[in-house]
Amino acid sequence: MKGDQKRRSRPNVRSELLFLLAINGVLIGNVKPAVIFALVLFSGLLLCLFCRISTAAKYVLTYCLMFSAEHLLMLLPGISLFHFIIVISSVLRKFIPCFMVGCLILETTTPGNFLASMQRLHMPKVFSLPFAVVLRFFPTVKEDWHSIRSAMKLRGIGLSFGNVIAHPLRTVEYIIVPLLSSSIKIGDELSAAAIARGLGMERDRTSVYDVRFCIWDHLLMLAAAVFFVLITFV
Amino acid sequence: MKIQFENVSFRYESRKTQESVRALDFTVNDGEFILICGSSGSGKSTVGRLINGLAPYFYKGELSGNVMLDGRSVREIPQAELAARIGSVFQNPRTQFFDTDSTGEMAFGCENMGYPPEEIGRRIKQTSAEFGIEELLDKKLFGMSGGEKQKIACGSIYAVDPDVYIFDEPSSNLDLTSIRELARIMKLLKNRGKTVILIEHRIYYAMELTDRIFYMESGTVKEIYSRPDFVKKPLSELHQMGLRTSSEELSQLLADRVGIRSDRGYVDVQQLSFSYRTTAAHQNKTLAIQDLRIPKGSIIALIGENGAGKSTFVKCMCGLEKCEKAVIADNGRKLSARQRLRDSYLVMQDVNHQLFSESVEGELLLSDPDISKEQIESILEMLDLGAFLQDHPMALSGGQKQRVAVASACAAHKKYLYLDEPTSGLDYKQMKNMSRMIRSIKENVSFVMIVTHDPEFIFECCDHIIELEKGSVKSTYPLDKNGQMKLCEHFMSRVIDGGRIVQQGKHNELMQKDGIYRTFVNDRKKAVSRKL
Repeated sequence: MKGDQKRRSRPNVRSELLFLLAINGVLIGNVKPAVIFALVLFSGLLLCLFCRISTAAKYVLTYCLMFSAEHLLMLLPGISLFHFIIVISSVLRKFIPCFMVGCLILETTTPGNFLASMQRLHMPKVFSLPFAVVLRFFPTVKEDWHSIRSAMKLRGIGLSFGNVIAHPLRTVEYIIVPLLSSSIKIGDELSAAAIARGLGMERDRTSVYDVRFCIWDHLLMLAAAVFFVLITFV
Repeated sequence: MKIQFENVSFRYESRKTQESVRALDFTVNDGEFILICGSSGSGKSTVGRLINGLAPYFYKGELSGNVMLDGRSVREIPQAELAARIGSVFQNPRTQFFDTDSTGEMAFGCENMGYPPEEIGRRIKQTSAEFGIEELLDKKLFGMSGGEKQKIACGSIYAVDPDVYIFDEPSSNLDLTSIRELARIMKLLKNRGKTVILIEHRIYYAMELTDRIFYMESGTVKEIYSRPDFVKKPLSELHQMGLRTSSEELSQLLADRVGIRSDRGYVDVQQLSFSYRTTAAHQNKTLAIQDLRIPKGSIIALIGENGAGKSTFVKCMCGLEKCEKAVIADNGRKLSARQRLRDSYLVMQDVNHQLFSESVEGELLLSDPDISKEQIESILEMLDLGAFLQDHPMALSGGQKQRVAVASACAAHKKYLYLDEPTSGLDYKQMKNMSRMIRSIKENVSFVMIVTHDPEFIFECCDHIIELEKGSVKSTYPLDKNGQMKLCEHFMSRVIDGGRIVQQGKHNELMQKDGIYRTFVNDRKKAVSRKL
């Protein structure tokens, strides 16, 4: 049917999750900078192929900036503030490749596609349904976030540097309260609509999504293996 | 499918004190088109939920009596089978889709039923052809307009091919064009012999399809009318029933205000240009406003089709969007974007996003920490919120939340008040209240500007019209004698009857022809002259 071609030309969520799992070692282990850099570039390439180039550029540039800033600061005389910044930055920096793969998953996976893929893995619905709903929620929360920020600006409690520094907790509260209350409402209506359309049924769902592995999945799994070895043993 | 209610009562678990519906006793025959109307809180949505099984399966509560579908009690039918035989379309286009891709969404119901993929593909193809929505397939649902989402929602139900369709206020968030398209889809369903239950207080768009009208009041079906009997009712009686009327009946909405002159000067807008993205057409457009004069001391309706740039214009005016070149001056005193942000307030469509405190009082204190007790009281009194001082804003009804938002704007001494479609989903009484509230605060602010599609509300409340088209000002005029004529022309240049466009064209052309438009305008002329 229509759209098959488009769907087949991107990696499936199963291989993406495997890749994410394989590179998780980046966060804890003592990994060579060159390996992380290769990983960032590879993930950047994936984002270029399946998301927007601008997204990829944003992550890669952020990584490069943090990396060079740390090294510049190290050259300067040792002030404890600088050390603090270096430590924080080097921890945060390691999250970037994981964020990039997460971004890839969100961009290439729709809730329906996710449910079909998980059913292929014989994952019980108890596990797959909540995650599918999370996928559905992300863009909604993004929409809400924009309008909450506008509302805060109009009330003079915007996310300006001064406000965040002076009242960090209060500022978080102003974001969380409306976000939660609208999420609860959306969640309620969403569930009602899904149940009315038979989501809670016992039997297995069928799917119009083609979730067989394609060439990208094989490549991604190969890359997962390579990076796993590099991260763990090099 | 035949639907029978036998002495049915239902009480929600969350609202123990009072039954939502009681002693319902009626039969809907196979293939009938039923309009269930009544004001908000009359229990009409509950009737829909009892048929599709959401009450008590999802909305827990206590059910007595029997809801029978083709002679079988709903209680004995598994939810799975109900989902296959009864399709539901809900009010909010934003929250009723599960997938984020339109084709995946159309397939969703069928997938749950376990139909084979080839069969689902065939059904999607057929549905999109019959609905004329092929160009919407394989698109992201985020970014579509409300009308487009609502069509996909109908399509995903149609693909499952149930016997009964329940529409729960499907038009609340739609503009006039989308409502017409929705009515066209309903006609298709009726022609296919489906049973349709339409729950609405906008009664006009599907009137020609309706077989019987159930009027509900405080949880019971108070009256059942046949269509011929119902359409004979005078407007005032419909209003008393809380029902909204159509643009054809504007002639009866004689506004008493003829030529409101204000002597408070003007806010002038010059060289405002901004590039924006329309959700309806998925393309970039430019807002270009050369010279616009907004009279102070008045209530202005900002009208125009979806994608004309109304919301973008309001955001620019509030200072939420940056448009550096724009010159905006209040009686000659130039206002920077920062000043406008400080002095403006926008009541959003989803008011939940702009209430931040734990009580109504706290909400006002957030606007002005030095506000006195008396001031708080007088503002709340003016907005009919006196009793809710200590209540949590989220525990209030939708209309009350809107008023709290307005109250916080008053407390912050905002001068320019903007409202984005404040009457969507309101019944007649609530709309009247909204309009009274806005008129009462008019003196406290420089102007109130309202983005709206609601002709009834404009006649009720506004003094001045600004019409946008494709990002620029098409016309602007006071709502005096001539203005009222002109506004009618705007809403009437396509004459809609039961969702069908029966006449279309320019004012002069339509006046030449004999038809509903000429009758209407002549009636109105008579009415206006009588007033003078």
